[in-house]
Amino acid sequence: MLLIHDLNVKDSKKITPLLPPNSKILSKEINNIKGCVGCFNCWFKTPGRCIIDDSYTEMPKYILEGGTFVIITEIKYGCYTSYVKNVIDRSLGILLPFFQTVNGELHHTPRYDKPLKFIVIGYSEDVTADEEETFKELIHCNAVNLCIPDHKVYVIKCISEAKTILENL
Amino acid sequence: MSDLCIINGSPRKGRGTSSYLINELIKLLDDDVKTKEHYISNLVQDENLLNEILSFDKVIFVSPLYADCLPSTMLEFMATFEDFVKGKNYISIDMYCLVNCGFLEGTQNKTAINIFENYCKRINFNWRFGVGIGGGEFIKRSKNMPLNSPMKKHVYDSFLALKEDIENNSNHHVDNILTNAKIPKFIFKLAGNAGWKHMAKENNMKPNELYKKIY
Repeated sequence: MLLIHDLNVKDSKKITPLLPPNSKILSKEINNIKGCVGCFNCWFKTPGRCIIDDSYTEMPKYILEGGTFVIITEIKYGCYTSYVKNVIDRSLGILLPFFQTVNGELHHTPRYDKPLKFIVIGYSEDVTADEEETFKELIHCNAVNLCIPDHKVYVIKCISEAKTILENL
Repeated sequence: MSDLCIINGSPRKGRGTSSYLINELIKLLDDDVKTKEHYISNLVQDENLLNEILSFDKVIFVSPLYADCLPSTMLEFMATFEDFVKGKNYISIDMYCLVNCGFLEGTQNKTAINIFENYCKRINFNWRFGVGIGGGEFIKRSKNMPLNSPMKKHVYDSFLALKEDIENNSNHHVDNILTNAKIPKFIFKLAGNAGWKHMAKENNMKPNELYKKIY
């Protein structure tokens, strides 16, 4: 399993023991992440691998090895937090630049054919109904775009609820 | 007369499609609309500039679409600005957004615009409407074909809607506009895929190398 999260240290300590052995965890504590600059070099210079040298260079590898790609993010305006979004952007090399049509819309084709699972847990104490709707819509769109149809999205108020979700995956 | 603050969230700054679209919008606006453009990388480092945003009547957030939503740097700026305005007294500012994606369909920008609208409520600005443009890279690359040409007419019309609303202090509701150049999808797809292969050659690679599975 690969877990990407933006939890504080206290909450992180409650959640991470629930993961299967050999899971990889990426969090803000690995704080050398540089921003995706939309250069497309992960397609045209080093296909499949980001050109930026930090702990997030090989995101496609971690997603593939993990099999189940789990995200725990605070919901901000119906979106991920900045850190989590950056990790997703740095994963672009898992796709090919080429277009395919899915549900009548253009999307990129997958580089790999390994079936994956995509689980997203969004947490917020004061999420509005509009933000919750936007968030769920976003995760569905991301699942289509990342070519991971097997996906689930959860919206929780309290991080302790994530425990139950992870235990039942 | 009104003034407009333009927040450019493109990680590619002046080289991006956002920058091209901003220039096209400015060209359309009346001379008496005062505009000022800022890159978010400058804004996050300077509280004086953040404060300056609050002096404008109107603000437009301009961004490329990254994975169905906004680049992380834009999200970081939004959170910084939300924290900055918290507890401050300011007159509600009219807010617009202009999002563009590389895919043909303007509809793919819908979620990103909704994120901006949710954000607008959080910072107590006055939401006007958002414009989502599909085929952004194509629109930029075909600069020789003006925005008011038949193929780009829908995009041009969306810019006219922005112009109309920015220049007039209207309060009537305007729906978000999701639009794109008028190109058959299969042609866009064929041309796009050929374009990617051309990009490979420009980088001294054979097109087949783009498919590498290194893991």
